[in-house]
Amino acid sequence: MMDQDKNTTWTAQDVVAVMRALASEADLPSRLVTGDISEADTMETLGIDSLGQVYLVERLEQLTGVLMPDEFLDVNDSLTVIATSLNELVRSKK
Amino acid sequence: MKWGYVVQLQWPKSCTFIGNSYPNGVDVPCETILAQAAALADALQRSDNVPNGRVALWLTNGQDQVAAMLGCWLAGLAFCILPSYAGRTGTERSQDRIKQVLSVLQPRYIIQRPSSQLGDELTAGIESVDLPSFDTASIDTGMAKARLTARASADLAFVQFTSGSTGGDARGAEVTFGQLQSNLDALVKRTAMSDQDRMVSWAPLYHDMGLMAVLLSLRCGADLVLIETDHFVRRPAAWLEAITTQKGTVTTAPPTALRLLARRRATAVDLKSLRYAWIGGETVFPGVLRAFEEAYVTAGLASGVLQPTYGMAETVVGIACGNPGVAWTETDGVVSCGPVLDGLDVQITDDAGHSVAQGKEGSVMVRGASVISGYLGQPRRAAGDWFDTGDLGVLRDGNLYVTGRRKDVLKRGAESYPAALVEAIAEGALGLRTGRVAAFTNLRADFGKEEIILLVESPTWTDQDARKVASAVMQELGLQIDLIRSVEGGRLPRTSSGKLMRQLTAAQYRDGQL
Repeated sequence: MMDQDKNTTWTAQDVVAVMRALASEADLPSRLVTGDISEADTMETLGIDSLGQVYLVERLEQLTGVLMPDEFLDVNDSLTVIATSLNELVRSKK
Repeated sequence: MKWGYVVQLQWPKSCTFIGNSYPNGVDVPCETILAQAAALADALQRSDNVPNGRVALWLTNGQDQVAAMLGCWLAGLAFCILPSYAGRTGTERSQDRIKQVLSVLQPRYIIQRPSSQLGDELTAGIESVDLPSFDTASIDTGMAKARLTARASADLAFVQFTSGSTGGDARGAEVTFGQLQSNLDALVKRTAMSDQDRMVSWAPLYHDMGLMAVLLSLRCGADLVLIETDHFVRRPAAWLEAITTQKGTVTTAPPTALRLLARRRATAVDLKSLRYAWIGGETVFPGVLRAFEEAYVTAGLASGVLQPTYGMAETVVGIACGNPGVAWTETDGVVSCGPVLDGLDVQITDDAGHSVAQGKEGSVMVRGASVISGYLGQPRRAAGDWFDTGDLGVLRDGNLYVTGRRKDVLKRGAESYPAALVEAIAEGALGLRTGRVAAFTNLRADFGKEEIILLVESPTWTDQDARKVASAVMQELGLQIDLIRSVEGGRLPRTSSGKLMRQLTAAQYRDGQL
């Protein structure tokens, strides 16, 4: 699993790294361990369901130390949007 | 007609509802819910209802759901809580799926809120009824209670849609009051539930586990704490926090929830009050139970609280579950689901339908007072006939062990999906002919989950093909596929008539032949 410093700025590639780690732990589709993931991808295009999204949010909370609000992570949010939302949340909690 | 049968319900002292809009919970007096139900019953009865008619419920709020269920019963009607996929109408196929449910159900009414309604194209010809406003002072709840006691044992209580024991089209399991009462009584006896208990549940009410959590509470007068499923999905720890703050004694959840919360331990929870946790809805792996117990032993979770269980909508809900306080056991990596409930017989049979010796694996067959007579619109089963659960199991020392599944159903988080539907979506996404994709589950004890596998016979294969399939299945069903990969053309086993043999495919996959 990646070791994300709680003070660093999140990028879409950081989110991808978290997703690849979760895929290797069988929480997300195995395709995501090595398969193509673009910054424009969404939960829907990557085939990640509500349970998979719960795993992702839990892991992001663990890495950032920030509790994600209910509206965080819409199924159609791109990874770029997710990274932007993460940065806003982390900044607002400082 | 009054047959003198009494639906034995006992009103809880308190009902608490927790949701995204009210995370700390709202206490609602049960008399208020009953008054709301009585007002709804009056509205339905004014509409010239047909005895035993069916009412579709499309409601998300827990209080609305409980009031509407009771309101239907008070009006002499049966309810059906529509499955969540009724709200997934983004594609033609997903629309067809709910159209099929409504076509089988043929509801006389649909009860929904103006803020969340099914599209007109789905509900054309069905009278839509809103939950009426009510004035508790003007409602005679004593009369409402009396009306409930007039329901007959053979009356239809509710319809629950299921993927069926062999997969394929959605089927409406018809549950009568007699079957309901039998299963509730057996569960109350086995779990020793009483009016001293407090049930905490987030399981959706269209699922047998969620519905039973409510009905068990109403059967024995246990307090009810109902958490909106969406609230749990957004914040799983809310479940254990509710047990902590509400001092819950009984709860229900699929193993997926335990797996999730064992890996991310909820803090500041106290589970000392919990005495019985009904764990089921999907395969229960010993490692998942162990991990959860280890994670929460310091939070007061006692040995003998987690109880692996087995059941299905076709038996109302329960077939087997453990005795309170008795720690779960495992044999050869399979957990015991406890003894079979009173009123039910289970036998294990071989492929020829003959009963096998104790300790031998075979098909799990069940019969008894709470087994449904049939699916809506389909032929009745004769009383006393064995019902084939579609599962594999072993009886050992009076306990039932569920070892696998023969039916073509994929399970994820206690939700069931017909394998044939997933295959059709994948074939459509790739432009393949029917029968070129096989969907099945593979038990992964190491990960504590049922893995959903899709094998595709395709002359060409790239990562983009896997993406297309994953995305299409997600869009149509909201389902995540764990593994999608290709196999050589002609490798998927078929019958002589060309029909895909899913179970053999799964066996060959497990053996490393595919």
